[in-house]
Amino acid sequence: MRSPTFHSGTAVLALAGALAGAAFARPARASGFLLYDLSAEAIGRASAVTASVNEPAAVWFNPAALAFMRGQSAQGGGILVLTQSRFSPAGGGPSTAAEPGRFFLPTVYGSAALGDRFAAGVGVFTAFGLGITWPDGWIGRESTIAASLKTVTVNPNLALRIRNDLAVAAGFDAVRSVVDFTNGLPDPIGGTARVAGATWGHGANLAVLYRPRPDRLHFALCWRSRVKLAFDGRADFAPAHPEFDRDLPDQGGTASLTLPDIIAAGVMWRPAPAFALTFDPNLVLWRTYDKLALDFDSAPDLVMRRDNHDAVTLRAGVDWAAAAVPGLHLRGGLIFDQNPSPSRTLSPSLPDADRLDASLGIGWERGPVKVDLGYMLAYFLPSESITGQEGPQGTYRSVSHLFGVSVGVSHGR
Amino acid sequence: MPALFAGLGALGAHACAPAVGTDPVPEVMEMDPAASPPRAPEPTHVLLNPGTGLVDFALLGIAVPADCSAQGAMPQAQCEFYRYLQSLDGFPTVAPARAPASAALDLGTATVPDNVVVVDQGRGVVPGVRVGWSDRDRYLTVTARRGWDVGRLYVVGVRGYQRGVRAASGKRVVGSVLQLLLAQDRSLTCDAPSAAEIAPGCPFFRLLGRQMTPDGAAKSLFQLEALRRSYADLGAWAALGAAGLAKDETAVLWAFPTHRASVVELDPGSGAVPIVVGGGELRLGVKGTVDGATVTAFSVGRPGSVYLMDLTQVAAGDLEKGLPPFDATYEGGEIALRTREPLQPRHTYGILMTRGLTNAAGVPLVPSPITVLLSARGELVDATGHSNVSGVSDADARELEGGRTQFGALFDNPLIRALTGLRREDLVYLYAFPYLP
Repeated sequence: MRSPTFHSGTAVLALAGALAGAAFARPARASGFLLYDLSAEAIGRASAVTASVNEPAAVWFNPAALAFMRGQSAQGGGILVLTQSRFSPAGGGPSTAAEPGRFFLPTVYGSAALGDRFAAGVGVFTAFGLGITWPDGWIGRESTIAASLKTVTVNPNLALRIRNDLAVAAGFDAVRSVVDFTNGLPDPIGGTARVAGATWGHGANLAVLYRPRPDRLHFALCWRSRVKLAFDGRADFAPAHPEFDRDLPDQGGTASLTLPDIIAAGVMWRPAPAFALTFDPNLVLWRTYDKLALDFDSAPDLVMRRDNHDAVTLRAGVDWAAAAVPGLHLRGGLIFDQNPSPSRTLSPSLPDADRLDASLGIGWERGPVKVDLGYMLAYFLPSESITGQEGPQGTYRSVSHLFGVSVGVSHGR
Repeated sequence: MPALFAGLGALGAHACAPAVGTDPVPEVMEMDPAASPPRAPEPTHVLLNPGTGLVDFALLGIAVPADCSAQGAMPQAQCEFYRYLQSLDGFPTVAPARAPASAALDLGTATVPDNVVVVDQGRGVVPGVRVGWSDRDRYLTVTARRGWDVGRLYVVGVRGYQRGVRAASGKRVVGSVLQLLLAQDRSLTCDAPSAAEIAPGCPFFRLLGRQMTPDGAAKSLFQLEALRRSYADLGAWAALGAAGLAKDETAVLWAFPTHRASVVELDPGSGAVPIVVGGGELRLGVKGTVDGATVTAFSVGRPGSVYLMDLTQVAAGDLEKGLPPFDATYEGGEIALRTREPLQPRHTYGILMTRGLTNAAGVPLVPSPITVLLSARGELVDATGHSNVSGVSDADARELEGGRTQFGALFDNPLIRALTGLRREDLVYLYAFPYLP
């Protein structure tokens, strides 16, 4: 008779699944766990601003635009993200709601003209990450109870206005990332396992802005490179039964995943001086997240297949300068966001879906001061987990609300 | 500018790695029969063949050869010892109950009967239990001061977790995963009628299925389930619970029966040796009953079941003086030998008894382990001085080997054999001692 001495691989397998999903902690914005809408003005315009951005947040959206900005500017703000997800099991039964998510993501930007042609800018922001927490005893606890992925990017850029209608820029990304997730250990082990770790990654970005008709017709193209994150962390196993403690010792480990490349194109057309229409197609190369490799100190290494595919986002925005109130802008936009993860690998830490978003915004600028507010509703189309491979079979429904606020000051513009 | 720093500070806090502590790993009362060598409590009722009612090492996967002299699978002495145990319907009354642990235990915490409980099923907590620790193989040993009684079922439990025994390091001692499964109140097979019908979602099947093939996991589960039920059938948990040891505090539990046949006790370690009374009387304690009519003293020309030899005289070649006349009776739970002449000081005497002795039901007595070892044909130690018999320490094996060799010369002496009719296979008692008044 084989002794059923439990092997840590069992729990590690469950952890890998949770981490695989945690890396794609429930998205509240763009596909996967990309947070694309990093300024209040942009939120109001569905972030279709690649070709039209004219604030320090250009560091993120299109740093080539820095070369057309005069003087020095600083901008600070944040985005409040409210999320809600619900799971309905296949075959009927009561649905489960995740704990409402509340996240505040601060952003800080600065820009400065360096002479007639050069400009510099720097931004500190969170471009990837969010979190989700399900009830401890819910049906999918072995897949995910709580998951959190946080990143902070420091992105300095240098822009050059090659000629009056063309500018380019290049920048460097330093990304600090922290992951922390908890999932339930399977019966009869019970209890939970928590894995947390942190790392630094780095990347680069290039951008170009072409303004054949300045302030009337712009074209833009930006590329932000993938960033490899090699986490170094610890796993804390807390089985409900201490009999498993020896087979599940707390231990160190590493995991790696790669944040995707982001390619953003954009066009801005101003049919009338007060109206700006923008359209941005984005391509996010989520293929970089095809697997998650886990390497534990004593437990066997694991490689989890995720099989994500590249995803397209289509953004359309409008900005109307209200003539009645100088400096007042009213904004609106629509987004279609494609889901990068296939149904067969859908999990409660990755309940992603195709999304339809609508946004509204208002901004006011007077002298050196600029204040913007934006709101976006992100509606996730129902998505089904069809195999039960990474979590319970059933349907996920999610919705997110984003509230953005930005305050900027400038000098010499 | 201050707002910028505040924002950066908020982002910095956002990026701090969370602190994940490291929990201490407890020690465990091991239970791994599949380990090599097995690490599991012993003796155990699991080794009793339900069909024959006898000890059966095949249940452990050990095939004991029928002819110990013509095999190479194991040392001859080991084979002979296995065959002896397999002749019993329970374990010897001198057998220590033992349970392995992953680390040295603090014996100060192995208090009896609080943290180490032995229950005689049907009689209650066994008094006079002693615990010890073997550093050599990391076993907790549990013995009864006067040995176990014949024909009884004993249940042993060790309390662990928060309130129980501790390791010498101070760490908690918990049960093994196998122990946890055996303590389940629910079916390990999820009530499946056969191994092939275990539901894939059965949590125990999923647990074992991670490290075995599905067929292997299903088969193991059925074996485990049978074992789990056996503890319930034996009333083991109830017995410990009545003694104050709750299931969720039990780090290890095991049960073992002792053989029902009577035995003349022989355990020098606990003082179970012949007692010399005066200069010519020897008394030997017996566990179980004896038909007094079968207690007969051997003398030349008169068969008997009890032999007394002056081995000093035998070694000197004087067989007449080597077989001093004596009387043997059964009285007060003891077999008494009374010599007609006083015992000779500094002479070594041997006492031998045969299967002619029976209990009140006519069942022959059985030998104790030391008798079997002293009468073994195979050597008890190998060329390097290590024990050839599992469960017998190297030191004990070396000490017994001297006696075995001398007795072997006795048994192999054709004159002695012809004179006494003694055969190793007939012995139920064998012991030699110097008379030192």
